[in-house]
Amino acid sequence: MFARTSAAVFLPQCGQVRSMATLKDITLRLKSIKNIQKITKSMKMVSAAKYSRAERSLKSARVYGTSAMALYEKAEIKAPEDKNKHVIIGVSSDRGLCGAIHSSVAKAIKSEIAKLSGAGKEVMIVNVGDKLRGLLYRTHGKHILINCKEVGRKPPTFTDASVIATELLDSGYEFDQGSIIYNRFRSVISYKTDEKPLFSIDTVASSENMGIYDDIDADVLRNYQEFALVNIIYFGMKESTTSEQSARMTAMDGASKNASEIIEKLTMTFNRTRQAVITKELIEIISGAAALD
Amino acid sequence: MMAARFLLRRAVPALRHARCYADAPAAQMSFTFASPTQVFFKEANVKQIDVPTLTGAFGILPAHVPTLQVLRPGVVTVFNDDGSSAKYFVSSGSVTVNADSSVQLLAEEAVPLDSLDLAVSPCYAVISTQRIIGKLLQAWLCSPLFTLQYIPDFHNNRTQDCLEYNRGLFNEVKSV
Repeated sequence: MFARTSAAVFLPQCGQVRSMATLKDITLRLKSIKNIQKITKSMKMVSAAKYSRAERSLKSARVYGTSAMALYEKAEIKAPEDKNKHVIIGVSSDRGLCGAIHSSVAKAIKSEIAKLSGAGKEVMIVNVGDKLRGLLYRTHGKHILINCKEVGRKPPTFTDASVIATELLDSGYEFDQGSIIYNRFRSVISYKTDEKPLFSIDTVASSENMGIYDDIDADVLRNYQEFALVNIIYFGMKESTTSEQSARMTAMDGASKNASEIIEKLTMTFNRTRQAVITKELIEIISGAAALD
Repeated sequence: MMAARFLLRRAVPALRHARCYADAPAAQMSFTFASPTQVFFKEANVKQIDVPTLTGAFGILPAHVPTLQVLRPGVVTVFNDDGSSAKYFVSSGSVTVNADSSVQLLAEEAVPLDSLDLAVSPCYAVISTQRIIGKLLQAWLCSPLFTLQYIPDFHNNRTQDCLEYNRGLFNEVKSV
C-alpha cells in the first residue's frame, strides 16, 4: 500500500531509456516522502499508546472471556451435525493500515462459507467493522446479515458487545450454531486468526451433558445463553483491538523504516544530480572561455 | 453415610458442620470472579460463596451440584479459607458451577462494598448497568427519598414498581 502511493508520485524506471530527473523533481519527491515519514512515525506512536492501554484491559477481559466459555468446554457441548443454520461473526474494525488484520479474518470467513455451503448448510455473516463489509460484500453479499460501523475508534466496551448481540438475536435469524472469528493477540509482533464456537439455546438445552446441571429451567437457560453470547463477543472484540493496534504499530514502524531508506537513496541521488549540474555549468563556462582564447 | 454424602453434595450453608465427616470432599473449589473490566478472584481456593440469583440466594461450597444461574442485583459474599469474608455488590451476571467443582462468577458490573460510601450519602449511585438484550436488570439504586427508575423484569420485559424492591435491597446491602 505504501509502495503504491510512492509509485504514483514518481514514474518507475523503465529500462535504460530514462530522462535525467531534474533537481526540482527530486526535491519534490524528497519533501513528500519526508512528510509521509512524519505521519507514519506519529501513527506508530499513537498506536503504541492505544496498544498499551488495550493490552492492560485485555488481561482482565481474557479471564472474563475464558471463564464465559468454560461451561461449553467443560460440558463438552457439541452441536449436532444435522443442524443447518449457521452464523459467523467476523470481528475486525473500520480503519486500515494495520497489516493483514482485516484480510485474514475475511479469508477465514470465506473458507468457512465455502466449507459450509458445500455441506449444504445455510450461513449468514455478522460484520463487526466496515473493512470486513468492504472485503465481503462483493462476493458474499447475500450472506451478510448485519454490518457494524464505528468500530475501532474507541476501545470496545461491554455495551457495544451487548448492542451487537441484541441486534443478532432480534434479527429473526434463528441460528443453530455459529462461530466468532477474530484475531487472537499473541504478542506485540504476532497475532493469530482464531475461531470460537457459539451455540444456540436449543443446542445447549438438548446437549447430553446438560443433564448433570441441576435446577435449570428454560428462562434461566435463555438468560444465561444471551449473557454468554455477549461475553464471547466482548472477548473477541477486546482481543481483536489489541491485535489490530499492535499490527498497526508494526506496520507503521516498517513504513517509517522504508521511508527513511528511500530518503537516504533520494538524498544521494539529489546530491549527485546537484554536483552533476554544477560540473556541467563549469564545463560550459570553461569551454566557453577556452573558445574565446 | 450415603445420606451425609447426599447432604454434602447439596451444600446448604446451614449444613456446613456436616463437613467434619471423614469423607469431606477433597475437591477444592476453583473460583473465578470477574467483571469485564476487573478480575477479583482467579481460580482461587475459597471456602464458600453466597450469591443472589433470580431464583433465590444460595451458598456454594466445594462439590456443589453443577448448576447454571443468573444473578440479580445484590451482594456476593466470598468466605476465604482463613475465615475472612469479602463482599461485593453485583448488578447482574451469571454463575456456573461445573462438575469438577470449578465456579465461574461473571458479573456485568461489580464493586467491593467498601468502595460504596454509605455513610456520606444514603444514595449509592452505583454503576449504571446496561440493559443486556433488554433482559438483564438495570439497577439505579437510590435512597427511598429519590424516585427510582425501574427494574425491567428479567425476561418478561415488564417493569415492576421497584421502590419497595429497592428499599428492601437498600436495607439488605446496608445490613451486611
